[in-house]
Formats: sequence, structure tokens, C-alpha cells
Amino acid sequence: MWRKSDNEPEPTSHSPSPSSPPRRSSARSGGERAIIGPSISIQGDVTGEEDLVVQGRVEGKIDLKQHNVTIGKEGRVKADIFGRLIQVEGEVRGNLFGDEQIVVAGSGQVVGNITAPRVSLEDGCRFKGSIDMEPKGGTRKSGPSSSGASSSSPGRSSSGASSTEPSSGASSTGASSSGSSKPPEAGGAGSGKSS
Amino acid sequence: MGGMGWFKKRPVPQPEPEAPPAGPREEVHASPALEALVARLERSAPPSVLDLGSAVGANVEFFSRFAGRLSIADFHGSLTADETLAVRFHERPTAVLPELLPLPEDERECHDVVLVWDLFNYLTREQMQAVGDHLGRLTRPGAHLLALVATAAEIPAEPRIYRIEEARTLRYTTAGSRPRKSPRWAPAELGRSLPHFTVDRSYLLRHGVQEYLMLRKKDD
Repeated sequence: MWRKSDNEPEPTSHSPSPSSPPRRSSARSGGERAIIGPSISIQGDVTGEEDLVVQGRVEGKIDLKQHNVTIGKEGRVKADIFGRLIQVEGEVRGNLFGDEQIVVAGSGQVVGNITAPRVSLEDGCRFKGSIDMEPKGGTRKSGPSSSGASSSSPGRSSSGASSTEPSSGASSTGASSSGSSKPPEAGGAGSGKSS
Repeated sequence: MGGMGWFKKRPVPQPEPEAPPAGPREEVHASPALEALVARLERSAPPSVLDLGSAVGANVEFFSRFAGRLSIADFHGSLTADETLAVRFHERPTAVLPELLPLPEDERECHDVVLVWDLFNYLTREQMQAVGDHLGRLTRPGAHLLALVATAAEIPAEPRIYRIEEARTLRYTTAGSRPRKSPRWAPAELGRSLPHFTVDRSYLLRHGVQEYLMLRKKDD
């Protein structure tokens, strides 16, 4: 009575073929993220495999090269920060190394050096330090179109320029985040130390 | 004579309330010194620029075309934010300057351009001499220095924030606070305060500013 139509597509197998390696979870942005709440204080290195929002205090190093790092308005960081996109709305005393872009929002305060292909300083921000503007592979700066922000413009090829790679040579261990709290925000946990 | 009718007490003139300070206003002016500076930068290797003013996104964007390094010192802002530092700078500027403007470790870290903007208008003679001498240590021979010195009798209460628009135009906001007396530094005074520099170009502008583009001398 019921015959499988010849036009129906053949059901596909959902099991991975033996020849294809299992897929690693790729970097996620805009999805899951860890949040260091305003009552959390961390002394040490913060590494991980997801985006991070810091509303508390961190002293040490934040290394999330493949991910986005946001220092919220209540965030107070004394550390070098490595990330793909770094956005500062709070206070940072340390160097920033962005693989793609660094944005210092109007409420942000940064004392330190910035290294990124694209740098944007919004009106009202406080910044003291150096910005290394040498292009990486010919890319030039572009940032969000907020007032006072930088925008893309082709740059001259540099000669004898120094590298924009971070000098500390830090690398992500890919380990699970240490010393950070996951949502919902943790409160009243006091200070925590990273392993 | 009817009493004291012939005497009329004159009303005591009340002092007129002080007019509130005018609100902040934005102004634009053509800057021939900036234009001359940019023309030279376009013919040079990627420069290291030291901006003594505060961070302005438009200026970061502007200098990005030269693919060099931009250091922002926020000189006035640093003193405003730290009262202790400001007091120390007032008392012994020479001793404090290395904190405000760290000395380079070697010549490679020296700067090719210094943007003083109108900072000199807000320094005492002693402070200006200390800063001028210190800038000589921060720059390499042949470096350029851009300064805007007030010739008007009054200047804003605080340094202006200058935003570069194109290669020859400066836009700035004058704060609404009460103006203060301008030191009106003479060219000779500027020269004494900046012994490591010579005036390469100078432009007297109509809006009460004299622009200087100075060159760092060779070391002896």
C-alpha cells in the first residue's frame, strides 16, 4: 500500500565516517560566555575557550586569543589582555593585544600599550600609552562608526617596522577557564585564585 | 518743608549678577603648521608620534595612514587626575617629567614628531623650560615639534582638545568655563625654553594663535 517513493532522498547516515576526524568545537562568539561578576577578584592567569566579560577585578593576565574579551564598566583589570576582539568599558592598566580589533569605549580608561590591526577610541575615553599602527598583512584600521572612532584607511607599507606580535609570547593552553565564574553571575564569592 | 520728602533715598545699585560662562563651543581653523608637518611625514618613513594631548579617536585614525606608532601622553589629563602628581610637578617639574613622559631606553624608541598643541599656554616659565628640555631627550635629531602658542590676551581655562580633520584643519572644543589670562609667550622665550629645537616655520593666525613647527637640532 505504501511504497517508498523512488523520488525520496535516501536517508543519510548521521554517524561520522571513519575517515573524518571528530570535529573540535570551534571558537564561538556571541554565544556562551563567561562572566566575572563585580564581586569577584582574581589574581593570576585567566585562560579559556569562550568569550569573557569582566565586571570584577583581575590582576595577572587574561589570555583568550581566539575569543572576545569585554571589560565591563565595573571591571578593574591590572593585566595584559590577549583576545580576538577586546572591548574596554571599564579600567585597564596593562597592555592589550587584539588579533582583530580593540575598542576603548567612551567610559573606558586604559593605561598601557595597544597592538591590533584595528583600534578605535571613542569620544570621552581616557587612554595613555602607545598604539602600534603598523599593518599586519596589509590590513588597515577600521572601527565602529561611533564619533571619534577610527575608520579604515589604507596605509603605507612600512619599512623596517617592528612586529606587532605580543612580546610576551603567551599562548592559550586551551584549558578550561580557571578562576572565572559562569553565568548566572556569582556574587559574594570573594576573591578566587587561579590554579 | 514737608518732612523729608525732598530727600529721596536713592536705591543702592545692586551688583549685576555675573553672566554665566558661555557654553562649550566648537571651532575650526586651518592649520598651516599641521599641513606642513603632514607634507613632510608623507615623504618619510613611518614615524613615532608623541601626542601630549588627550586621546582622540579621529587623531588615531589620521595617523594610522602613516603606519607608525602613536604615543598618547594625556599630559594635562594626567595632572588633573592625580593631585599629588600635579603638586609635585608644580614644585619640581624636572623631577616629575620622567613619570609623565618616560624616557626612551634607546634611540629607536625616540620620537619623530611631538604634538604639544597648546600645552605651553598652561605652564609656568619654569615648567615650560623643564618640558622643553625633556622633549629634547625624547626626540631624535630632525624630529618635528608642533606647538600652538596663544597671542590673545585670554585663553580657555583648560587646554583644548584638538581633533585633526584632513591634513590642514583642526577642530576643537572650547570649554565653557571662564577664560584665564594668557602668558603670550614671545618667540624668544619659546626659543630659550626649547634649546634643542629651532623654529622651522611659524604662522601668526588671526584667531589669536601663533603656530610653530620646530625641528630638533642635531646633538653635539
